[in-house]
Amino acid sequence: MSVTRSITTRGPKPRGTSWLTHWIPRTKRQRATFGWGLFFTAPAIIGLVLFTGGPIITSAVNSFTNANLLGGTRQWVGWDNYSQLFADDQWWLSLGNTLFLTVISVPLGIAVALGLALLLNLRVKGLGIYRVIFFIPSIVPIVASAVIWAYVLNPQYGVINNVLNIFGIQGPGWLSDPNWSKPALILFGLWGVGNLMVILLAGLQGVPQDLLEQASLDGAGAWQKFRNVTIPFISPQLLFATITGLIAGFQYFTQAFVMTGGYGDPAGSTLVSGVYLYQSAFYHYQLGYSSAVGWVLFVIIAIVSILAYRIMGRRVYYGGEAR
Amino acid sequence: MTSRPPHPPTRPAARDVSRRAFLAAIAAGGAAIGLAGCTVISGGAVAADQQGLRLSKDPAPGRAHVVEMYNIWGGTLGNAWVELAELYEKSQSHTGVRVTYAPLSGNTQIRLQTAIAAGTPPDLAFCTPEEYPQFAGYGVVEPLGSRIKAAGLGEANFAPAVWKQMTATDDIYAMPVLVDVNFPMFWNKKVFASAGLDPEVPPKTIDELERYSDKILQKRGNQVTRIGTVPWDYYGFSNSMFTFGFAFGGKFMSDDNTEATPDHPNIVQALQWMVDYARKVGGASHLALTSPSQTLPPIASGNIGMAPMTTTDAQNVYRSGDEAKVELGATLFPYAEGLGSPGSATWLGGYDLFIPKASKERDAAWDFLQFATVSDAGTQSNFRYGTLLPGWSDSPVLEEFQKDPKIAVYREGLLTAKNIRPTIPVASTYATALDVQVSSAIYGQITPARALAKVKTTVNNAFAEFRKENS
Amino acid sequence: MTAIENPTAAAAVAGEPRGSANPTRPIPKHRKLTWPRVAEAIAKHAVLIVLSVVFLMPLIWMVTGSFKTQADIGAFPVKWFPETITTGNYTYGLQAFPLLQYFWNTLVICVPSMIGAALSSAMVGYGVSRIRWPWRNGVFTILIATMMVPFYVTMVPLFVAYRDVGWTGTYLPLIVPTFFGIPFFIFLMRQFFLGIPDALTDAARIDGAGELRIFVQVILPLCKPALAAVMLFQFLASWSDLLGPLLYLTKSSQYTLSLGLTFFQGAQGDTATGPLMAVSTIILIPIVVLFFFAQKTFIQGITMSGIKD
Repeated sequence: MSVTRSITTRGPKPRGTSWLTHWIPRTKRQRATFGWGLFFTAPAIIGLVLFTGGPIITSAVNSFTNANLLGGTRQWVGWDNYSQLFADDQWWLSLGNTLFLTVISVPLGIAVALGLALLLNLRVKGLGIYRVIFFIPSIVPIVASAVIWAYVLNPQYGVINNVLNIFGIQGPGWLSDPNWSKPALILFGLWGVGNLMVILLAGLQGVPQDLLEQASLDGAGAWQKFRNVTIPFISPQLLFATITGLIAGFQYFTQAFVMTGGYGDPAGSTLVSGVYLYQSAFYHYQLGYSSAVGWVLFVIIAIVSILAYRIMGRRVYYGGEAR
Repeated sequence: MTSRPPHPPTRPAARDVSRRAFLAAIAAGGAAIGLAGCTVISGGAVAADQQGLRLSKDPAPGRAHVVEMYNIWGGTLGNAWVELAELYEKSQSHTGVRVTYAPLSGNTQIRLQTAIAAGTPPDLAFCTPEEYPQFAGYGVVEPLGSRIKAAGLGEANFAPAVWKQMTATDDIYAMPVLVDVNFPMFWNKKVFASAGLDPEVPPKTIDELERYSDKILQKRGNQVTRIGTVPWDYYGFSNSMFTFGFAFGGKFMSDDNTEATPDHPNIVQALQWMVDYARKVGGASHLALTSPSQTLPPIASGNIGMAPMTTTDAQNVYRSGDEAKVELGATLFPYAEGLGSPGSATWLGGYDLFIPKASKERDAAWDFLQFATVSDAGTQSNFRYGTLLPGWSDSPVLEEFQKDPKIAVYREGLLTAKNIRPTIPVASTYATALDVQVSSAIYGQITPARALAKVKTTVNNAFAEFRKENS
Repeated sequence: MTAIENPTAAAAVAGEPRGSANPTRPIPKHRKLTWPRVAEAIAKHAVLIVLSVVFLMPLIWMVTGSFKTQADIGAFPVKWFPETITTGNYTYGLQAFPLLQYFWNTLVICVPSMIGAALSSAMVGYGVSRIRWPWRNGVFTILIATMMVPFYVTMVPLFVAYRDVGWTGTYLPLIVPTFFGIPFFIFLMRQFFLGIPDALTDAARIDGAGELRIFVQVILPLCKPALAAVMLFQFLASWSDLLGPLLYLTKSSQYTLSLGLTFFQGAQGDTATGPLMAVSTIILIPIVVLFFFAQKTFIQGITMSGIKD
C-alpha cells in the first residue's frame, strides 16, 4: 500500500466481557499476566504508598482546614478555602495569565523543539557540537539565564530590540510593559526547549528510513513524507510532549519567579497560578488555603489533560498497532 | 514475516575527528583571544574584604550550653554572623554557638519554616522587622518584654522608630540587629550640572523634586533616556508606595494598629502624584534608561538624576561606580510641603533576631541575643561585616557613622525617623497587595483611589481571618 | 545519487548510522560536489550558526563574566568582551567552599538516582504498556495524576514524613524515591515501548520466552535512546536541584554544588557575581562533557526498521 496515505488505525477493542471480569483475572493465563503486571509496576505502587500517597492525602485534608505553615492549631473550615479562592480576583488573574502562557507556549515549544530536532537529524558536519549547543540552555543555572535574558530583553540595550531597530521597528518594553511581559516569558521559555528536543530526537531515530525511501520512490515530496511517515512514527513522543507540557504549563513557576521577583510584576501581568500558590504558602503562611489552590489546579490540569488525551490519543500511531 | 538484520557498524573515526577538531578549535579560540591584546591580571575580582568567607561554624568545644543560629546569607553578610559568634564565644565560657548555613529559597526562609513546622527550630533566627508579628501570632516565638526590662533596657536605649516597631504588638518578640535606613536620597551631581541645576542643592520638597525632574527629563521619540527619578522603582512597588506615602504624611495603619488605612487621603494623593509623574514622562513602559547590572543600581548608569539607595548599594556605587558618569550627594528624602515633614519619608528596614519558642536553650539564646544587639563589641562587629546600623542608640557605631560624610545621612535618618511599615501579622499580605495594585495604577489600569481601596479590603479581610484563627 | 537514494553511502560518509541499510549495496567513497549541494550546505550551516549564537548567549555571558573584574561586571552599558581579564574570580571561587567535596557529594546523589530512575521507569513503563493486564491503564492514570499535584502543596507534609522516619539530614530523601518510579520518566518509556511492533515480542513469545526475558533481551536493547534520555535527565535534575538539598541536608560537609553556589549570594546588592559565574562555569563543564560523549547513544542503538506486512 502506498505510504502517502495516513497509516493511523484503531485496533480492535478487547473481547466483550462484563466490567467485573475485565478487572479481575479469572483464567490461569490471565492470572499469570496479572502477576507479571503487578511485578513490573510494583516499584511505582510501593512508591505511591510510601512516598507520594501520604503527603497527597494530607494536603487534600489540609485544604479543608486553616492549617498554617508553622504547624500551629488546625481547625476544620469545610469549603471556606475554596469559596475564598473563587472570590479572589487575584486568583482569576493568575489563572488567566497561566492559560495564556500555557496555550501559547506548549504548541510553540513543541514546534520549535521538533524543528530543531529535525534540523539536527540532517547530515551536517559538526552535528555533535550543534546538538550540545542547543541543549546547553537546559543546563545553564537559572540564575545565569535570568540575568542574561534580562539583558536580552532590555528595551534600550537588549539584543532583541537592537535587532528590531535594524528593521526599523521600535521594540516594546518587554518586562517593563504589562502587555509584553508574557511574550517575554514565552521567549525565555522557548530558549530552554533543549530537553524536549532531545526526546524528539530520540523518537526520530525510530522512523524507518526504508519507508521514507519508498515514499520518495512513490513520488512524495518532503512535506508529505514528513506528515505521513515521520509524524505518525513520532506521535507517541508528541503526545508525551503535549501532556507533560500542559502539566508543566499550569504549574509554571520557576522562570516567572526568577525573572519578575515573585510579585507578578508588572501590574500583575506575570502573576501565574504557581506564583500565587507560592505566595499564599510561603509569604502568607497559609498551608490550608494554598493546598486548596493546589487541588483546584490539579482538577484543572486533569480536565485539560484528559481532553488533550482524548483528542490526540486516538490519532497516535504505535508502531503497527493502535492501542 | 521478514526481519532486517541490524545496520552495519559505522566508522567511528569520522566522529572522533570532529571531536578532536572541536577541541582544537577551542584551543585555537582561546589562544586568539589571549593574543588579541587583553591584559590578564590576577586580582580585581572581588573586594579584599571578601577573602576567606565562612558561612557556618561548629560550636566551641566544652561549653555547658550550645545555641544554634540559622545563617540565611552567603557573601559578607553571611560571614558577619560567624564572626559575631566567635567574638561572643571569646567573651564568655558558658555558651557555644553553632552557625548553620541555611540559605534562602527565592526570598523565603523555607528551611526555618519547615524546621519550625517539624518542631526542631534553631535557637535564634532572623526575620525582617515587620514580619515578626506573623511568627508571634502563630505562637512560635518566645516573648522578650520581661527579659528586656530585667536587663534595664527601655525606650531610651533605642532609636524612636525602632522602639515603636519593637512594641507594635502586645509584647516584644524580636530585637533589631541590623537596621536599614530607607531611604536617604542620593542625587547625581553630574546630571544636575548637565541639566542646568545647581549640583550642590538637592530638592527638599516633593514640588522641588518634580521641578528638577522636569528639567532633567530627556526623551528620544517616545522613549525616555534620562529621567529625574523613577518614583515607582524604589526597591519594588510596595516600598516605593511606603516611601511616598510617608513623604506625603500618610498613615498606613490606624493609631491602635488594628486597621489598615492605605486609603488615607495623603496616601491617595501620593499615589496620584506618582501616577501623574508616570503619565508626564509618557508612560512607565517607555523607559530606556539602563541595561541591567548585576552589581550596581540604575543610578550608576548616569541616566537617573535622583534615587534612594540602601547602604550596600550606595557603598557599591562609591566603590565601583564610573566617576565620569556619577558623582553622588546624599540628603534626607524630600517631603510634601504642608503634608509631610522633613525626614518623614524615612522608614526602617533591616533584620531582627528572635528566639523560637520550641528552643531548648532560651536563656542561653537570650544571652547571645543581648551580645548581638545591645553590646559595644557585638554591634561593632556587625557593622564591620554587615555595614548596616544598629538599632541600639548607645552603640559606638553611631559615632563612626557621624564621622564619615558619605554615610552620615543614614545616622541622621535613623535618629529622626518616625515611620515604620505596617508591623502586623498580615504584613506580607499588605506588601503583596500594595505591589500589585500600585503597579496597576502606575500602568494606568486602575485609579489610585480604587487601587488603594482594594488594598484596604484585602488586608483588613486577611487581618480579620488571622485574628479569628489565632485568638 | 542523492542521499535518500543511497542512505548507506551517505551514512558512511558522514560517519553516522542512519536507520537500516541494505548490506548488499556497494559503499561508494564520496558524493559529487555540485552547486545545489554546496548551496544547501551553506544554508544549513547558516541557520545552525545563527541559532547557535542565540542558544549560546548565556553561556558566553557566563564565561566572559567569570573573567571580568568587578568594575567591568557592573559597567554601563554592558561590556561583552572586557579588555582586562582576571583570573581572580576563579582563585576566589575555588577556595570559597570545598569544591571537590561538594562535587563528590553531588555525584553520590546523582549517580544512584540516575540508575534508579532508569531501572524503575523502564520496569514500570513496561508494566503499563506491553503487558496486557486489566489494571494497566488504571495504574498509569494514577501515576500521571500524581504529576498533576503542584509540588509545593505536598512539600511540607513530605518533609514532616521524612523527618518522622529520621531521613532528614541524610541523602536518602534525594535518592531513594527515584528507585520507585518517576511518573515523568515512566510516561516517557511507555511511549517508546508502545512504539515497538508486536511482531517482535510475539516472535519471542512463540519461542517460549517469559515476560522477564522479553523485557531484558528484546525490549530494553531497542530503547537505548530513551533510556539514555532518562538517565541524562535524572542526572541533570539531581545535579542542579537546589530545594531538595536545601531542605534535607543539615551538615555543611554534605552540601552539594548547587548549595555551594549560594555561598556567593549575600543580601541584596551583595552578590559576588564574578566568582559566581566562575564556579557556575566550572560546574557546567562536566555536564557538557557528559552530554557531548553521551550523544552517541541517542543516535546509535538499533533502530526499528519497517516490517513488511
